Formats: sequence, structure tokens, C-alpha cells
Amino acid sequence: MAGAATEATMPGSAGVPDLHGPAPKRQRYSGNRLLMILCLLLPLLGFMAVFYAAPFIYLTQESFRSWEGEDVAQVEPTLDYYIKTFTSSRTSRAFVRTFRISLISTIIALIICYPVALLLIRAGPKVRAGMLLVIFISLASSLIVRNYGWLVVLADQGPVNQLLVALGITKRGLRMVYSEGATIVALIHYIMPFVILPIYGSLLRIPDSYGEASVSLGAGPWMTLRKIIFPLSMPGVFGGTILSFAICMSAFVTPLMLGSPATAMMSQVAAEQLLVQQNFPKGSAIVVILTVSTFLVVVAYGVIVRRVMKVDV
Amino acid sequence: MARVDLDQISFSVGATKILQDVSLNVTNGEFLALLGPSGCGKTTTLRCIAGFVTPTSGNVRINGESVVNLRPNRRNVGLVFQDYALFPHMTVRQNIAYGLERRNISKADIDKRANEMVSIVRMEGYEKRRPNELSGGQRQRVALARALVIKPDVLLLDEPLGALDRLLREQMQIELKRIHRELEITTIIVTHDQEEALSLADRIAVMFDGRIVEIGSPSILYEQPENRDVMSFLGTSNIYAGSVIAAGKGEITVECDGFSVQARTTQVSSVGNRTYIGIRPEHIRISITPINDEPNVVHGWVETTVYKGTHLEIYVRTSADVGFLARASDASLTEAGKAAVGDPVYMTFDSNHVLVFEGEA
Repeated sequence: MAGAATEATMPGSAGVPDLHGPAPKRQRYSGNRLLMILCLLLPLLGFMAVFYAAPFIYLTQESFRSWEGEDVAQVEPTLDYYIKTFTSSRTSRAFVRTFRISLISTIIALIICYPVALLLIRAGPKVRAGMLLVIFISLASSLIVRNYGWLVVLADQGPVNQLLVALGITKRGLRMVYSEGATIVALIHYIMPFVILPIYGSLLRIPDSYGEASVSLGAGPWMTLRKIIFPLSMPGVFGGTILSFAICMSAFVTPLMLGSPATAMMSQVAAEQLLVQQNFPKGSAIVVILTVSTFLVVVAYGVIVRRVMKVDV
Repeated sequence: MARVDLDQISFSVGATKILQDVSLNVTNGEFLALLGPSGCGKTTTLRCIAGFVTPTSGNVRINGESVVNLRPNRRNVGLVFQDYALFPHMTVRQNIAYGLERRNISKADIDKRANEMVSIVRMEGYEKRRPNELSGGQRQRVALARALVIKPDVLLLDEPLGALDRLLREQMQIELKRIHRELEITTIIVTHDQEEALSLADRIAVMFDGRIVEIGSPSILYEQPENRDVMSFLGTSNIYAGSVIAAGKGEITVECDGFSVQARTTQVSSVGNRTYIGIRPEHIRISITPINDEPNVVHGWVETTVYKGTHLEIYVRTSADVGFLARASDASLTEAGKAAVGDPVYMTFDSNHVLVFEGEA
């Protein structure tokens, strides 16, 4: 009783107040909580097990088997098709090309989309609604239709070439379709909503007071963007770029329509083995390599962002 | 350190007038509180000084020079936000050094000044922590240090203690006073908490509906407010409408609903004027025996009593159904404590303690 009384009166009258109350602790999940989380995830886990994990395990098993002509020889597991994928110039170049196209598309998309997301934040409600509508419309329209659109726009006699000729940049129309460049342009268009929306989301979560605090401390708008806004939007940047990178890595229709066999990406090569050549182990090996390498890139990227930017993503 | 002058600032959004002719002169090293209910424009006034709001008309001067056309990052102003706005991806140290790094200051000087400020706000040993690893009071200190380290002309505090619990708030008030005394920096605090304003500020500017209605020292504003709204906003009070029935030299008699009151006033008043009178609860004495030899006696019945620890609140109702609130804190007034609900009591108060608000009725 006496102890409680002194405690109640002391801090208020203190010339030496208790300055440092307990700092918040990181929360640990108890067993019950863990169980609840598991229950909530159950439908998703079930779906993923049936439609993702099982086929992938099957493909992985398949990739270690040996294949000769029509017969599948029942021999020891082999790494032959993995080795072949990396030694064959067609598949190894497709592998490198897939990474290159995905990386370039993602970087350019980020450069284009970050200002768009900033604009969305700064815009008034009407402009914002309009911009979001345009973004969603582009998500809702069919990929095939959009790719045909790019075929028309980038065609030899298409509007882009007409403009280039009219401006006197080239004499004759340039061959732009059926190339890596055309594939990249169409992919960027495809992934833009996936980059804009996560960045917009994370920008929304940054209180205005952070930017204002930075400005009141003497930082200009550019410095504030660089030092405060961009680092704090990293979760969105990370989410958006990782999503679009993964989409690009597995792109199939877009390189098929806008590229050529010489610019084939990994999915095309795998599909060719699985559907045309009927070489299931080889096709499977390519799919496994594509999946695992994409996953490794995602993990490495996450670790780097955490370490370097010191942001939880 | 600087003086801050607001010259007839007005600000409106569309047809909504948010600030109307706000004028304020804050002298060098002064601690001024902008006090008012939420939505009265006090934060907007602060943001005009910081530069986030450009007034529609009027001028803001810091040290005599107009800053209205200066962007916020060009004004040397320290700002502490209600939510602290500490940068979550930076350590305490990085937060404090942020403003210094935006200026042309050598690395050694940045270190020196940041360390100095860390010790002024008593956060030694916490430099490497991140904001989410700090308690509310600690965050408050860091926010204060970050704003002060750039040696601003004026320190602006926007409801800085609002997010803290009562005990911590009282500690931080003491801290704020100490830091203000040590650095002698011109400080403007925005608050809706009258107790905070009364205990911190040298002067208080009370705002209602986008206007400053009264400026004065805490004791003047509390004890002799000129504005009826200021009296009812600051602390508790008994305010009644009435009309003047006798006007003498420096003294008037006001007839209210069922009772009359003598008051001293410097205002010139004539019989028949409508007026308001105000009496603080602590100036009302309660007696259970009839009193006849004093000018101001009101008879009533105890409606309810509330024990508040440091004092006793007695709610009294008169025969004309007028409610009074009296506060007895003196031990000699335990007589009031004897009054049970329903008992007849006699309330007396000195005519010096009756405030008259004329021309507002």
C-alpha cells in the first residue's frame, strides 16, 4: 500500500522524471495464434498444394528421368537435361535472354511508374479516380488484344513509323515488330499496373507529416523524395518490381506474338519441348530451372533490399 | 531566437473562412500558447508560420522580415508534429542529424551539435535505436531534439503532448519548460488543453472560429478574462445573464434570474443594460447558516456533491431553478462538506470576484 502511494505521487513531483518508460517489444506469436493463422491460410494452402505444389513436384520428378525416342527408359535418375539446358546454346541463350528482357522491362516500368504513383498521391480526387480507372481498364482488357494493338502500332507502316518518317528521323519505316524490343515494350505495358498499384499503396501509407518534417528541416522536394519518401515506399517498390519481374520471367504469349523464334523466352522453349517435341524430361528441367532461378532472384532481391535499404519488405 | 509577427492574416478555402484577421506579436524568447477548441484555426495559424499554408491575405514576419513568399524549407523554423513524424527508417541519431545534413555544416560540427542536443533532451545511449523501439515520451524528446538542433528562429509545437498519457504529459511539460529556459528560444505551442496552455505559456492567445479573441498571461486570462467565451473555455465557471439595476462608481448591481449580484467593474454601465456575470466555483463559499451582513448571498439547496480528492464540488440549485457550482478546497470550509443533498445552503462571494461581460447579452 505504501509503495503504491509513493509511486503514484513521485513521478509527477519529480525534478528527475522517469524519462525512459519501457520500449515496445516485438510481439511473439503464441501457439493458439499460430493455429488460428494456419486455419485462415488453410484454403489457400489446399489450393496451392493441389494446383501448384503437386504439378511442380511431378515436373521435378519428370526432369530427372531419361528419355529416348518414344520410350521412357526406366533407368537411374539423371541430371542430363539440366546439363543440356545450360550447354545447349539455344536454351542457355534463351535463359539469359529471359533474364535480360525481364530485368530491362522491370527497370523501365519502375522508372515510368514511380512518377505516376507520386502523381496519383498528389492529384485531386477527380484526377486520381480517372487515372486509377485507366489503370484498371488496361488490367481488364485481354492480353491478346493489347498485344495485337502493339503489333499495329509498331508495324512497318504503323503510326510510330509514320511519325518517325514524318519527323525525318528515318527515311523508311523501321522493322520494329517481332523483336526483343517489341517484346519489352509490350511487357512494360502489361506490367505497369502491377508496379503502379503497390507503390501507390505504400505511398498512401506515408503520413504527410513525414514529408513536411523533412521540408521544415531544410530539405527541398527532391531531397525529401530521395531521403524520406522513396526509402519509405520501398515495400511498394519491392512488391511491384518483384511481381512484374516474375510475370516477365514466365511471359509466354507476349514474346510469342511480338518476338520471333530467335528471341524466344524460356517459357516458349519449355512449351516447345513439352508440347511439340514431347520431350517431357527436358521440358520439365527447363520449367524447374526457370521456377527455381526466379525464386532465387526474388529471395536475393528481398535480402538485399532489407540489408541495404534497411526497410522491412 | 527571434520575434514573430502575424499581421492580419486571413485564410479561406473556397467560401469557408478558416482564419480571419489574425494578428499576433510574439517577442524574443517568449513561450506563447495558441489555445482553442478543435477546428478554431490554431493549427492553420501555426502552419502559416511554418510555411505550409500561404495566407490569403496578411503578412507573416520573422525578425521583422516578411516570409510569406519563402518556401518552408527556406524558413528557419523548428516544427514538432502531433504524431512526431520521426523518420522510421532512421535511427535516433540520424533523425536528429537530418536537418544539419541539409545545411552546409562540417561533419565534425554535425557530430558536436547532434551529441549536444541528444544530451539536452536526455537521450544518451539511445542514439542507435529506431523510433519504433522508443516509448511515446522518448519519441517526443527525439522530435524535439530534431527540431531544435537546427537552431531555428522559432520553435513550433503542434499539440505535442496530445498523444501521451497524463503522467507523461506532466513530465514533458516540465521538460519543455526546462528546455525553453535553457535555450531561450521563441516558442509557439498549439493546444486544445487549457491546463497545458496555462502551465507552459508566458502568454496565451485564445482562438474561436478563426479569430483570436483574447491574448494575455495565464493568470489574467483565468482570473480576469474580458471575453465571456474565454471564461467558460478556461476552467469551470458560473455564468448568468442579467440586467443592470443599479450603477454606481465602479460598482454595479445586476439582477439575474431570482437573485441579484453586486460587482466591481471599470466599465461604464447604465441601468437597464443587459449583461453577463461570471463567478469561478472556487470563489463561492458555502454556509449552512444564514448570512445577512454580506452583499452577495444566494440561497439554494444542495443538489449533489462530488468528491474530487483535492477539493469538493457542490452543485446548488436555487428556488428559481438556477444551478450553481461551488468548489471547496480549504480545510476551514469543511462546513460545506457537512451539507447533505437537499440541505438549504447560503452561497456568498466577494464582489471583486464577480466578472462582468457587458455588451454581449
